[in-house]
Amino acid sequence: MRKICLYLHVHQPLRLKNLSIFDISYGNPHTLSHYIDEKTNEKVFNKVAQKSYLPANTIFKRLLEKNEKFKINLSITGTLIEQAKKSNLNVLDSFAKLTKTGKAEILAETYYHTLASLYSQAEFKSQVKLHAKMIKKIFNQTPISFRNTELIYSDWIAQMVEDMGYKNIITEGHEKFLHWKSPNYLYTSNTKKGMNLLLKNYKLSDDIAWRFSNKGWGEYPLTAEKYLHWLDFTPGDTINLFMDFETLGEHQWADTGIFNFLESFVNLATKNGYEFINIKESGKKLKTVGHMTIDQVISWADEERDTSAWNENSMQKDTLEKIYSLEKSIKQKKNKSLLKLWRIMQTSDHFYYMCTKWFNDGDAHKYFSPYGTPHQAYCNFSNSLISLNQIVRR
Amino acid sequence: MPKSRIKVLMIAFELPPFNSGGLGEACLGLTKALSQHVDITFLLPTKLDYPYTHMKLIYGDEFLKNKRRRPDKVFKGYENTPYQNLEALGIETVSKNMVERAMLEDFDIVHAHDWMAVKTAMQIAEKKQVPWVFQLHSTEIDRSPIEYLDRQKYDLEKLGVERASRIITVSNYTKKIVQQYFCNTDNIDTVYNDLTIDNNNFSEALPIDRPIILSLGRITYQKGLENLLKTARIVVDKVPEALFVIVGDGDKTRDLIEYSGTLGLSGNIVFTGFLRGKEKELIYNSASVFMMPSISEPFGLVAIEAASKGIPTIISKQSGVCEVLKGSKIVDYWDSEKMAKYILKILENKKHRAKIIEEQNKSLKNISWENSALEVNRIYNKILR
Repeated sequence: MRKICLYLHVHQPLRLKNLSIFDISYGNPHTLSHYIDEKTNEKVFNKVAQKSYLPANTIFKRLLEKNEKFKINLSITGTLIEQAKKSNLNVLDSFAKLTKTGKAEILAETYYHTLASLYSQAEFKSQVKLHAKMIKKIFNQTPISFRNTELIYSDWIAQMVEDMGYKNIITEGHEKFLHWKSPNYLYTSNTKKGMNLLLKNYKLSDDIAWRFSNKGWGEYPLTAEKYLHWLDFTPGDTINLFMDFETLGEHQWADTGIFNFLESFVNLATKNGYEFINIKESGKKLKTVGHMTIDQVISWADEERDTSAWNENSMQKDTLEKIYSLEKSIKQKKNKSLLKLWRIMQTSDHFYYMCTKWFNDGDAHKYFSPYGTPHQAYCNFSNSLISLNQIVRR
Repeated sequence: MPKSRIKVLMIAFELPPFNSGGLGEACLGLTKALSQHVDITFLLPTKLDYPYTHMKLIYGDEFLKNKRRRPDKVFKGYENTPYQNLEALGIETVSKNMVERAMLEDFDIVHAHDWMAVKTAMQIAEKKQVPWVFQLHSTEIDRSPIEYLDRQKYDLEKLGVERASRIITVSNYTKKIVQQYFCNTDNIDTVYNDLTIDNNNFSEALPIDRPIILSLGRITYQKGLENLLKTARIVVDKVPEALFVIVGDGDKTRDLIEYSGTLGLSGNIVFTGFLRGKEKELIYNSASVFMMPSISEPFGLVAIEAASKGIPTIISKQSGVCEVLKGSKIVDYWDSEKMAKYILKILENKKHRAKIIEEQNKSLKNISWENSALEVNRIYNKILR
């Protein structure tokens, strides 16, 4: 039986307040609310909850309960959970209902959705542990599968993950680094023990995530039948559909028909000989076809599939270097809220806002940014650093 | 010497509070002092709500029907400034309106400020058969790298220099530029600017216990702020808590911010954007050093402003203000090493700092609009004698 691995990433950052020089060290710098734009965060969270999390989870719950062969994989960041706890407990509850079916697997990742894997091994491990602890507490699951922020991957990152005891890992499957190899098989990571490695089928994933509602697309409108037909003609053991959860209802609005599509596709696929799997079962349900060596650092982002959306230009390099250079002095302070603030400032989104790659094109980067320009994002981050420093220096 | 007071028609394109830079401030300061000695009619392109009574204000669009007065399209950043007409209607139309308006007035001499006013002044002077004075507050040579000169502006400045009865520059530095790049003439007088200091008692400062190194002004090529960032890098390596505050905005802002990233200055630099009023005062009150590293600065009123707030200043040798502001540390605009050395010495040595402030204060006493007004009046009399 052919497999489909559906994996959805659930994340919202804790956006930072626009601190000007006149705000620095005003108020009580020890309260996180001085730094975090709670109003915007709550507004965005509630919007996405209504448009995406709640309606999609209603469908997923129904599918998980009624369709025996349907399973789902999720990663949920700590920054999202915190906002859900604060703004809308129904959201948390809707995810918990999925995990209670025993068919929704939650993956491990960094709690604050950071690039720590690239900058500090110790910090990376701390954040992954922190995340696993939270997942255990809220969903009563101990993750054994791992997804790094933005599916950032390299053999040496995989080794760090394996050393922490994880058995399964996922990343991007682009021909840039797969060459003649297909993403539609199970591979073994190029690490000491070898983890089960699943690769994103980016073409079929992006048909849903990016092209679904594009009326200029030759295949518009996409129906469940047509999509399944494509899957039938795709060789391999497994089709790995990896995307942001917010694709459902937020990037592709409800009126595009995305929810109906999803439900009919799942039911049609399982009727036609497909089985949805959890990532933790990949070793049992699939046969590995060999080792996969990835010596460069890859990700699932942009055409480049590298980390240039976060750390290419001078503003990003500068701020990333600064925030991680504070590790020692922050940890020495042994101040919980200071440590938390430092970690919140590591969230990759802050650096994504500084990306100048397609600054003038009004593309996805701009869509997600609360700032007018990447330069404003940098200036604001610099002001937040100055404010953070005011506490560190005390 | 004429028996009655001289009647001057002064032409400029901006006055506070609707100004974009130092030109408006300088015109206001000069006319306030000069109005003690002569009668001034001040011609502006656009009627706006100006609060002045020391002179008569007239406007190019004063008697025009509404339709011709208001341009259809106002360019971004020029809303509610006299430049909205200039940019939208074109300088020819605006100038024609101003000439027509001026013909209704009676005056002995025309005094024009900067390139925008050249054509207007020439036509008025010719029609009325009176002499005209051309005052240069800045030149295209200051504003742009030589290979990117705006020919229209440069040509107007050259025309003014060649045709005016007398030229006034705001410094000997600018006089030399005029002689070198426009016309090798001795028909030039230098009249320094001064600052109209508002003696507020606002003393509140920012609650930041870090030494603040301040620069304030438009962020353009001319201001040489890239060199200031290079200096910042050197200073921060020695004094990690040093905080560089860049106040202002302009066409080089984005480049400068990216350069700040290249030099790794986040956490040591603040770009505040344009500030005025209380916020500007707060920043002044918090600054330990003031920097004006301009590549070419005809005068540099902002350095006088900073000195008058009791801040030690470091200013570029390529400026007019260094001819009058004694005590200030003078440095070539490209010499980041030396700028850094000066900053560090001021931060570290209290006696040195106090000495600079004392000398600055002494020389501030000698600069006044009153002296400048007397000088301008003397120039008028010489032309009209």
